[in-house]
Amino acid sequence: MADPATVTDPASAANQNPEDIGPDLRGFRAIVGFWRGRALGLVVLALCLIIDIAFLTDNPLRRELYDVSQQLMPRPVESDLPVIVAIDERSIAEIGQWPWPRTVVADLIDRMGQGGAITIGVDVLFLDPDRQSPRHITARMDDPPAGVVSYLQSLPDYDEELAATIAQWPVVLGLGGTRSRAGFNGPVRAFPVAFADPSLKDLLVTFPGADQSVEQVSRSATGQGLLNAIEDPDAIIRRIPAVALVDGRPVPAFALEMLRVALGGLLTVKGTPGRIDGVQVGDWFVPTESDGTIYVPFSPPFASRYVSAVDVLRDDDVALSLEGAIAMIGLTGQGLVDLQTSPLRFRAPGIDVHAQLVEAIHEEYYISRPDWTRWLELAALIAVGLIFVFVVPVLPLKAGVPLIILVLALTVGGGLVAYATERVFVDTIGAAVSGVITGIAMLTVTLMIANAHRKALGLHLQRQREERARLQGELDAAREIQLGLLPGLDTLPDISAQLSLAAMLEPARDVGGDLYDFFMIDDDRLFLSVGDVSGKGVPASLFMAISKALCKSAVLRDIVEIDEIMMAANAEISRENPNMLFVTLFAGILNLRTGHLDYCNAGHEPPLVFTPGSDDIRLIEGGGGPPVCVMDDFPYMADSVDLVPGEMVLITTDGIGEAMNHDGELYGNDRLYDLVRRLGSDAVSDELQDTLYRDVKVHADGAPASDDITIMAFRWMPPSPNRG
Amino acid sequence: MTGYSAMKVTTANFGDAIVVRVAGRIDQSSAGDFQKELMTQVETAIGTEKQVVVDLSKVDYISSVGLRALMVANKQAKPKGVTIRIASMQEVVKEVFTISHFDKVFPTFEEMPKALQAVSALAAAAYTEED
Repeated sequence: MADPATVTDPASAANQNPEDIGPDLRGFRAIVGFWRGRALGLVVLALCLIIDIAFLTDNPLRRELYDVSQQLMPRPVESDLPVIVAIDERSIAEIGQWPWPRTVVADLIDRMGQGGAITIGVDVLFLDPDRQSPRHITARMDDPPAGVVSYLQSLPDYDEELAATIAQWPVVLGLGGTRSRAGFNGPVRAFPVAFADPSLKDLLVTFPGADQSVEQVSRSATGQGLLNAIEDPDAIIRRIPAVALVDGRPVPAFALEMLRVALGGLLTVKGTPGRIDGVQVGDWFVPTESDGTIYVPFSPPFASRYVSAVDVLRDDDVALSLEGAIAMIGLTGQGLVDLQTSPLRFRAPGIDVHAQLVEAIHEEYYISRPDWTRWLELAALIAVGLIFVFVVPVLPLKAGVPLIILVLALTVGGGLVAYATERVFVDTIGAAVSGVITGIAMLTVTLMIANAHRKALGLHLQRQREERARLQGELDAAREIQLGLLPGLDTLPDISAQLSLAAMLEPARDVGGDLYDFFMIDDDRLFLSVGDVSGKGVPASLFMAISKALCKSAVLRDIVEIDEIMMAANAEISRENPNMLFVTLFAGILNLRTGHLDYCNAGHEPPLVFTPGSDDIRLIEGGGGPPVCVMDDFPYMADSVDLVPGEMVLITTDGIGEAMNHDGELYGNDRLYDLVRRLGSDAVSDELQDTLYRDVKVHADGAPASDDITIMAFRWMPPSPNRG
Repeated sequence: MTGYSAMKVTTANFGDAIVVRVAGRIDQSSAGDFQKELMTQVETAIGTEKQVVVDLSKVDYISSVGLRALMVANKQAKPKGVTIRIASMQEVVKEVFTISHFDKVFPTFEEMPKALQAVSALAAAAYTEED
């Protein structure tokens, strides 16, 4: 009668949340899970930060970003002011091999001065006395005639002539800082450089020594400027010291010295202790980095910046074109000069760098990298990293890579925008690279966690399945114990003339401990019982089995009174009760001949007695005590009832009365009574059992039963007199 | 399982009576807690030679598991001379006690003062004072 399909419910079992591991544990795991991935991301981010701070104040990527910024946004050429008078290949071809006699250089300077140049820069070092000077020619003769010697000695010396010319015009000579103290033609002379604060001097780039033109020449110049640029490891020229400390003396850059000579007066290094702000020349302020260097804003190659020296010497128009210009003489001819590479990646003679700086200063076009950019960079690095640490894990995995690219683009883009609008160079590459590293780390970790989680979930599901199977096995065992012990009607002799008996038991999903029993004690007397163990599962079904067996053994030990049977059973079952269960039990002995029912009710629902077809329902009350095992020495009392022929008795367990539908509504006694009243007068026990069971099922409407359903019904008829 | 069921157990001492007040449903999901608390109080009562009174006035349902909890507590209490008295049952609960004949196992009282009176005059006096 029990339908195994109602016992298991694989669908609802599968619907159970696999994460159902208890609220406390879930919260804890959530916290651990939240930080497990992110902690690693934070460590990676911290490492990036430390590396950036400790090792990457200068790095190739930063230089590359700087160069790209300049390449994308080179300084436009707007001024035609500075002019380079180039000692180019054509000049050499027409005038002669370099070095030219210094008188020729003097002529060139003269032409430039007469042409109206306001400052004449000479980016040529005259390190030795001119050996072409007549005075020096005799030194190379083996035995010169005395007349020749005195004649040559009487001729003007070329260096003297050059010095005289230089003294005549506002000329700025070059000076090359050296890495060693020993240089040509030292010491370095004092320059008109002042400091707003004496400590600023300590911030300057230093050169221990310098190469200068021969003293005679250099002394005659109005000014002298440093030709050096800052040497980056990749030999690309990016910065020039506006003022450097050479041989212990502050020396202005070649470009600034030309500016100072043009404007006249003093050059003042401004700033506050620890930081140089810039250099003041006359009323011209040139901002610098805190170490006094200037980023040179390069323009693309610009050919008309150059005029040929030979043209200046020979063509008045060309000479006059220098009117008002800061003009400078420089070597451009092949083999004469080391070409320098700019961030724009074109190679140009050194003089071009100075000319470009003069142009930039004139246009007030500056690139700056203030100290705060470093803090901004670190802040960006942290911000970008944190975005990845906290956003990547909550995003779908496939959004991770686009997010990294997006943030990377925004970061680098932000740097370029800062350059484009303010010409402030912010190294966002560091933030971007560390962001990518953090992002990839987070993606990897998130992926790993997701995998681990999936695996754990699989494992959990597997364990649940096993647990369910195990439980199911137990339930199956419990049900087998329970159902296997129930007697079939075929165990009774043919008593159908006196009694129509029906009994059924349907275990609930998790198996209660209902039981029923019936057997003949002798030819006339039928023992019957219905019970309900207060518990579920295997313990309940085992307890039920023990109860049933001990009850029966009491009966079979010739204990004939039902109350004594109950007491004996109570005493014995109480001894076998490790789980402290109890069982409600209605037990009776029906005399089939007389319809006399002796009974004892140990805490069970009172059975119903009625005559089918009539409205009258009685309860079999009284006679008993608490459920078996509640008190091991309880004095149970028996009672009895004499059945009227045709009367029917219905014994149920609370699986009937407490059967619930989905709304939690109980089946209840009223429905039971109504159903009983509807029975026809000729109803047999089977019919009552079937209709009651169906009615309960209709009421439950598919809601799973929480308790076993047990129905026992019997209808007594007196034996026909003729059978006697 | 009937899912979450709100049940609360509180205890108070009145003279030599420990009053266990239960509120809510005593069913499959709450019987464990009920039994635990009841056992604790029974142990206390045994140790301090007091009596236990269970106030069920706020209990609207008790299942067989709840009855079992009472039974388990009683098995502990009775041999040690502690009686568990039940008081102020609502009709539904009283019916369960009647059907199961648990009213033959536990002394039951309509009202709390009577239950305390049954414990001792001292307990009853303390209870009246407090109430």
